[in-house]
Amino acid sequence: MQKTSAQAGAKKTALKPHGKTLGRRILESWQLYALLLIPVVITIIYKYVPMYGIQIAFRDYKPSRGFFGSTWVGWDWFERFFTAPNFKRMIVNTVKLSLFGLLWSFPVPILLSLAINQLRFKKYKRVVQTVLYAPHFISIMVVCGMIRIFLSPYGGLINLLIGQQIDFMTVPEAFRTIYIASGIWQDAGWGTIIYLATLSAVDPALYEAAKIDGASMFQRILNIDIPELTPMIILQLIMSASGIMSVGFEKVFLLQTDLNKATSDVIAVYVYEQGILDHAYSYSTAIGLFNTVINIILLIIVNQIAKKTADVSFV
Amino acid sequence: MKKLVKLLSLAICAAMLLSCLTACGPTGGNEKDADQTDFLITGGMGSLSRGNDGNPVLEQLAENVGVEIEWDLMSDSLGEKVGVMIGGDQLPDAFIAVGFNANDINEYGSDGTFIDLTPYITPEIMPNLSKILEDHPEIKAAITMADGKIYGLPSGELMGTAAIGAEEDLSIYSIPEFSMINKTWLDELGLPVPTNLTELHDALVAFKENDMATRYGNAPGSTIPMSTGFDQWCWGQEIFYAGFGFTNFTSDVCFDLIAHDDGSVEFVCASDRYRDAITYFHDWFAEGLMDLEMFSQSDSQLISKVSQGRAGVTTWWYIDQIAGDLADDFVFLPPLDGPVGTKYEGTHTVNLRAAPPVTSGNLNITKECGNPELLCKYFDQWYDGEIVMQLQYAPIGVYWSEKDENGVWQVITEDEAQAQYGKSSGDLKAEYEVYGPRLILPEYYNNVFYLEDRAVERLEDLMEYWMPYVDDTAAYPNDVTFTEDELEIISRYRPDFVSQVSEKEGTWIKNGGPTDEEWNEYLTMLKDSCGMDKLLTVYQDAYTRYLEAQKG
Amino acid sequence: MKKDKKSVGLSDRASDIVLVVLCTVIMLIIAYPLYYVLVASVSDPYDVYAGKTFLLPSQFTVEGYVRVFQNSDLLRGFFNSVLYTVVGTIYSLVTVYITAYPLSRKDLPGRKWISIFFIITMYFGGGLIPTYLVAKNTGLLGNMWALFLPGGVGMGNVIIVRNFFENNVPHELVEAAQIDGADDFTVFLRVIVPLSRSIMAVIVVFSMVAFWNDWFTALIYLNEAQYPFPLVMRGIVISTEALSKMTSGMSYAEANRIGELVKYASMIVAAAPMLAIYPFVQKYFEQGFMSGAVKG
Repeated sequence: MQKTSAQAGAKKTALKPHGKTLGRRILESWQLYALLLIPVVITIIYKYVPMYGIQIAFRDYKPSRGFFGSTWVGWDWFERFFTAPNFKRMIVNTVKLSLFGLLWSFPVPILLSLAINQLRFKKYKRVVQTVLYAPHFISIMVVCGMIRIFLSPYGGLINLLIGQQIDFMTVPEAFRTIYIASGIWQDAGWGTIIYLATLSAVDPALYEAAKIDGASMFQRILNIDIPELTPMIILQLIMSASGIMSVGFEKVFLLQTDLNKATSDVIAVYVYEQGILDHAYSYSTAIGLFNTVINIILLIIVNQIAKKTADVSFV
Repeated sequence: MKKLVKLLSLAICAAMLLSCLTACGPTGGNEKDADQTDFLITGGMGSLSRGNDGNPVLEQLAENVGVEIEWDLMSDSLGEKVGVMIGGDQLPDAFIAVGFNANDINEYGSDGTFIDLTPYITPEIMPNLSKILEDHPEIKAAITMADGKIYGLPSGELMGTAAIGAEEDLSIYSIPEFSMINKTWLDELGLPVPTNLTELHDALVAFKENDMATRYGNAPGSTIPMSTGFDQWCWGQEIFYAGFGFTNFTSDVCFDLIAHDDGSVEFVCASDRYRDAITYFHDWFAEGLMDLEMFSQSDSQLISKVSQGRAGVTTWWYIDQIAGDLADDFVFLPPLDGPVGTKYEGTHTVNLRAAPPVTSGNLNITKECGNPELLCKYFDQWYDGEIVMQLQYAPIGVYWSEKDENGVWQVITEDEAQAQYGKSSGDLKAEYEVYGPRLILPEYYNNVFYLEDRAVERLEDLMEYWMPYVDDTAAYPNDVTFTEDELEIISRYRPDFVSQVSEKEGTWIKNGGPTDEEWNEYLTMLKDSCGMDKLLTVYQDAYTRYLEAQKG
Repeated sequence: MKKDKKSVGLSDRASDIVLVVLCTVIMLIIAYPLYYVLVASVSDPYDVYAGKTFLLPSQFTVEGYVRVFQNSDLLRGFFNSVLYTVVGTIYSLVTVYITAYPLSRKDLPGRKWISIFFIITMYFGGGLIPTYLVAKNTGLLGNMWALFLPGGVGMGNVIIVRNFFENNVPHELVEAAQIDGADDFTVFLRVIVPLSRSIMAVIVVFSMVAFWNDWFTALIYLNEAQYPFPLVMRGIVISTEALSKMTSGMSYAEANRIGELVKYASMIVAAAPMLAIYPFVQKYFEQGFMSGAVKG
């Protein structure tokens, strides 16, 4: 009775019609290919055709000379990036910010959705959900303004609570905590959407059966909800892990001061600073490419691990 | 089956899109028409502007030379859109009020996106502008690129002390930060207005000990003796460095770059006096005299503190603007001498900030334009005092009521503006103002129209209270032109340099230092990783060329 | 659900209480800053900075809202955004579903390579200018579709949906349909689509919010008359900031004060429509399995 859906998925594989030729199978699947036709066409036109733009990472791109007319400079931009005064610090800060961010913020939506899913008072449940999603709609600019007010050494809420006068915005050690905690506040509720949707697909008969068997709420979570969620959790983990190098620019920039750069100096802000003087298309493309390569390596590693251990994969 | 039909029709649509991609292709640009009289101009406008269409002045100008202009203007994120248009080869006939910087102009000029305008700047085609450039060789020098060509028409507002009759024309931006102190607090404590840093230090200590902010009904303990920003253009702490022999006001060229009267250039952030200043002010910070929040606060936070009477000393463009209702309690705190008992005792030096540049980035004609001559003719009309006055503010009849006995235009009074339009004269200006190649020459003030009262007042204060403290009036100009190679070096090193210097400056003020070891490490880093020497050579060379061009 | 109450044991009741208390605490922690933003939007900004508005508004004012609603482009921007959001959400839902379903079929020949073909676009992109050129050449400048097509297929959503099809749709029903001789289209439309309502609601919410908030794409590809709500809002915030630079008739401090008020007010106005329609979408999350099963 307590069959997990992962097993159900595995059963599906068994359906694969053996003994048919590849050509026959392709023909039989024509309806599936027909469904894919439009997405493939759109992807080719709007995603693959523009990809020639990547090569400007190896050129000194000047808009009017065009993508193929600008001077070829090879690895110059990469060299410049690797020899930037704070290269090491930027990489370390970027990785640490994402990694700690992932460690702290990843479990929160899962725990929240497990709790919310067990709420049996529908109206109350709806209120909780709506409140939890709301911070997602607040613009980063306003969130950062609010963070500054809350952390102000003069009458800021946090300083009042701890009875101190510290300007946290200029304390490098505090930056990551501020960034990650406010991120959890803003997006943890939003993150529950996907897990709650997955949980709502659980057959209520399973719960009924478990109750009859005398399973407690905790046991039901452990034996029904968590197995149901596992594939989605792993998938989300793979996706997050392959975004380690992509720390967003806006929020870090808004929370950065000259004095917390020791921890807040990340790649995205560096790219922005470099671009102030000139458009630096080539340089930012090169740095972006570097990030992408690292992200893909991470993706492949995490994907392999997930495939082996949990039979969930991204590709 | 129905669904299948639907799917198929969608697929056909997609296929059509694909064929369009190959068939439509780049069309190779519009046909150039030498007799073109309709122009498309893309660019910026004020965010409160109602746009250029229907502006009576512009309509008249267009009629005069028989052109029709389609304006495609925006007030937000112009840079991104223009970058995409140029990169995407979707050029209009001209760009207006984009504010291209020297780097852009060089690049787009040399690669042919912008056309060279020198053939059109002749007395026949552009009589007004030709005359101005003849009378003002410095403007011509500022818009001529290193390759000797001019890729855009000049714009700039030359608002300086010449407008109030001073002999030397010093920009209103020369000293962006006016420091000020609460005189009623000083009086209550029986203290004089400080003249050196030691006296100011003692006054700040007294402000703190006596919790002066409570005089304005603030909560006990809320006094911030001195509140400023950190390296901010008109609200920073830099004016107080004068006691140590420099003021490194923020600069659009490069922070901490200081020019001297003898034509030399230096990075003050690598000097011993800079080190002494930072070491000294750390003590103030540690004693709680400077705002704990100075490194992180926004201008709104600062205004909040000063206008609520919590700060005793601050800096701003002008007293009224920041102190609000308490403006009468504050007086200027002009540059202070160095601390008593040090080698800086009895001395001060103020380094000025340069005027905003005359740039050629606000009207650039592109290669798409078939008839640049006519377009130049049209824009030449903008270089007439009475016209530019109406573009800068608002049309005659709306904003300007009549000429006075000296033949100078009078501004509509606030009462009249409210009665006729139901809004302030400032709102009228914002609505009608036209951005673009506006060149406001010093000679227009008091001949064509008067300076705004607030500007007059600030210029007078600048002359009366502040300039007596200034010995060396050189300032690294914002309109120095660089060669392509020089620009390459600047874009390679400047961002890192500026970022490193600010970070260290702030860290040392907050945490103390630098020790000899830290200082040497810092100098090595500036030289090795941030290209300080290369930058200095570039800035020195360009400045030398600039001074020569100004002479000739 | 009501019937269940009889069978609720003592330990369940205890855990219910714990759960409700816990959720209430979390909710309060989350809600407080929201309340704070609301208070800030009707208080004197300088009092906000002075930390005087942690509980109640100080010097109550609705000036920020007045400024926002004075803007004549607001309504047009609102309707533009509604249109873009509705069309964009449909576009995104359809493309995500028709991509995800075939990819979820493990018996599809070439499935892995097709997946890789799509996933590559998540990581490699040509950048703004080449994309702009393609959009220009396919006639998208000044066209609403420029907001959707250059984004391609939302691959993040495709993977979520594919994963849901693979792991969370009861396969007994799919198999039953296949045994009855249903072809792939029929299985997709009659079984998979109704059975995946809850994930569909997720995609709807994600796309809706993304299209509602998007201003940058609109800025690059559309004309001013086509600007969506957030771009109009940005304009208002920026223009009030500009106000403080130009201070005739109003003191700097006053203009700056209004700028701050507008910042908060515009944010609340911008978020309100999404928050308001949320409860209606939320129904679909709750229906989840049961309604799907009934329909299928």
